Amino acid sequence: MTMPYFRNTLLLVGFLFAGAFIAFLTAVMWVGQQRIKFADSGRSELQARAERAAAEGEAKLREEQIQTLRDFVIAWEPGFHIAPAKDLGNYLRNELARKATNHGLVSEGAVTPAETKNYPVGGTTIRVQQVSIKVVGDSLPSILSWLGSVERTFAIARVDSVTLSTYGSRSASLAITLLHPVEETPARTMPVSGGSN
Amino acid sequence: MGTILDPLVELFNGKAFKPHPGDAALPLGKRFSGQVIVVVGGGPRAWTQRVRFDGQGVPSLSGARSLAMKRGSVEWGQHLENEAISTSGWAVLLAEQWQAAYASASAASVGGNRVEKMLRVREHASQFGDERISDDAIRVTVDHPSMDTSVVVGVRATNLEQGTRDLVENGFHIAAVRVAVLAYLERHLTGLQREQQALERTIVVTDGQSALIVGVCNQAFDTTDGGVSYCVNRPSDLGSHVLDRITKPERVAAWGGKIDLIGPEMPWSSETQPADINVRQLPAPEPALCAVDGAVCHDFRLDLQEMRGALPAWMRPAFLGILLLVCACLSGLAWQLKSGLFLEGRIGQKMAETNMNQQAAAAAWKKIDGLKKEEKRAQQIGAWLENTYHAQSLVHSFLKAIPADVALDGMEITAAEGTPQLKLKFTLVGNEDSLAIASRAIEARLYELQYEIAQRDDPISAAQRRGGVTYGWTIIMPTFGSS
Repeated sequence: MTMPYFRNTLLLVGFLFAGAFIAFLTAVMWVGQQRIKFADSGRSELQARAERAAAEGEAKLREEQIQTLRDFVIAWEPGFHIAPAKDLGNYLRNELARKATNHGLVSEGAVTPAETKNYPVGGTTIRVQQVSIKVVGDSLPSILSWLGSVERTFAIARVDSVTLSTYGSRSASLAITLLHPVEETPARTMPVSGGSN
Repeated sequence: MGTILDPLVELFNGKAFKPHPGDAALPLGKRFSGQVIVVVGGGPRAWTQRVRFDGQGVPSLSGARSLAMKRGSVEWGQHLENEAISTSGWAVLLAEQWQAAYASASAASVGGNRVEKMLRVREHASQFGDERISDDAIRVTVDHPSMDTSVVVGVRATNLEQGTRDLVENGFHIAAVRVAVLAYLERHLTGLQREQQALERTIVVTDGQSALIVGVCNQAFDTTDGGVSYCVNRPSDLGSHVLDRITKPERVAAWGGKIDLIGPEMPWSSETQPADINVRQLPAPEPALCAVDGAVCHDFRLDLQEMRGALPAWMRPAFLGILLLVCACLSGLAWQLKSGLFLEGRIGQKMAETNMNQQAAAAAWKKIDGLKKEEKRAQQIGAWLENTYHAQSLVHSFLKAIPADVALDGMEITAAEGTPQLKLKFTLVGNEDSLAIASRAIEARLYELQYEIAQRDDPISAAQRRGGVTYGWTIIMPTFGSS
């Protein structure tokens, strides 16, 4: 009679003890895992901090070093954005012809290939629009002035070829092939106007 | 929940390791060692007597017996309440108005422990008595020390209900319900057995108001009709009543005339006591002490049941040890949880810092990528500009370098793809000396403009070309920014 009366209670106490012991062991193991995770997170945090410091240091260094280059780019970059890439050929052709007219020259149909091309330069390539035009005039200075005007307006264009022909002392012709870089990034400035002459 | 909580409370307060006060399987001395209980005498004029058990469970009277009071009176009720408050609150009730009979079967033949035997006797009452005991009686037996026979005593259940209700309503718990003469008989038989004496004399037990006559012949209970009898009468008439029964010739013949009289001395005179009767007067026991004696087992309680026994003493330190371990585990658990949660918070902080640093690093790398692109763009622009030249300036300088006596027939400048080289081709018309001067002048002019002449093709003579000499030079543009 003794044990049946206390059996459930003793079982409860036993289960309570077992439960408390198991819970304690589980908590000990959990805390152990937490310590490992804490150590890992500490290492990760140190690593991330070092990575951040390295990246920010390098960024700062590059930022300091690039300032001159950036000034250089800012100075020259607008020249790349005179017209959208798809309109550049027409724009150049029209501008060259208009300038020739302004200089009293006769232009013989400017030609632009339909496609732009990659042009090798300094170990890299740059996409360019080619335009060819021939102007004829009575005055060699007018022709040269036209050429100067073209070079001033399209400051970053490269004159790929120049062919000057004289016809006695009264007339001359100048055929040029111009290569103008095509903008590959959206324009940051408004297109440069073609100038007055 | 009571089946778990009540034992749990007893485990905590230590009662689980002590006998249950209501356990009929244990002598009162074990149940109430170190406590005072109250023995309550039944009958119309009731009385109470305190009994103290020492640490070994040996009883002794505690104080004087209270005066007999009328049962059911207000005075009696208040007295019981006071006694219940002043003592352990447990009482032994001495029942009155009992009946007795002989039983040919012994309760010892019933299996189980003592309480189970008593319960079995009650369940199968007819087996242990005869029709002279009323049907609604609660029966207990007192067994012959060695023979398979018993004396059965019954007390009417209604009487027991009245007596116990009286005590319970006034704050008492019932430790046992006993009949005084049966307690005398039981203690006497136990004493004979303990001293290994044979049962040789007829036993007459009396409390002064009733008497139980247990005939003995041939060391056994007298199983003939009237071998066991009882009588209740006025105290003044009880002696003669008993004397009439034990002096019948057939009883004297059967019992041998040897009588042990237990209880108050009977008012027999030497004239009335026959010469062939040998009556041995045994000391009259104190009823209260006899009722709580360890040798007395019978119990008429209506709610008699086997109570839980005491847990072994060694279990108490074991239980306390387990409790301490549970507390230690719970404390450890709480500490571990606190540590774990603290670490959880720190881990969260570390991870947040890690994420922040990683995001900052990613932003820095993104910025570096942007700077690299800017750098590359600058290099592209720089390389492009390095490979450009001012054509107007070159042509104009070229024309100005030509002397007046030399005419220019044509010139052509072609850039070499991907290099700062220019192919300069021009045709001059003039005499040989003038052409040579013009050629040197052009050359000097180019050098002034920081151009370098890398190659000179052999001039194509006038003989090969009409009216002029054609020159083919390869020149290199000035370094960007040098002019």
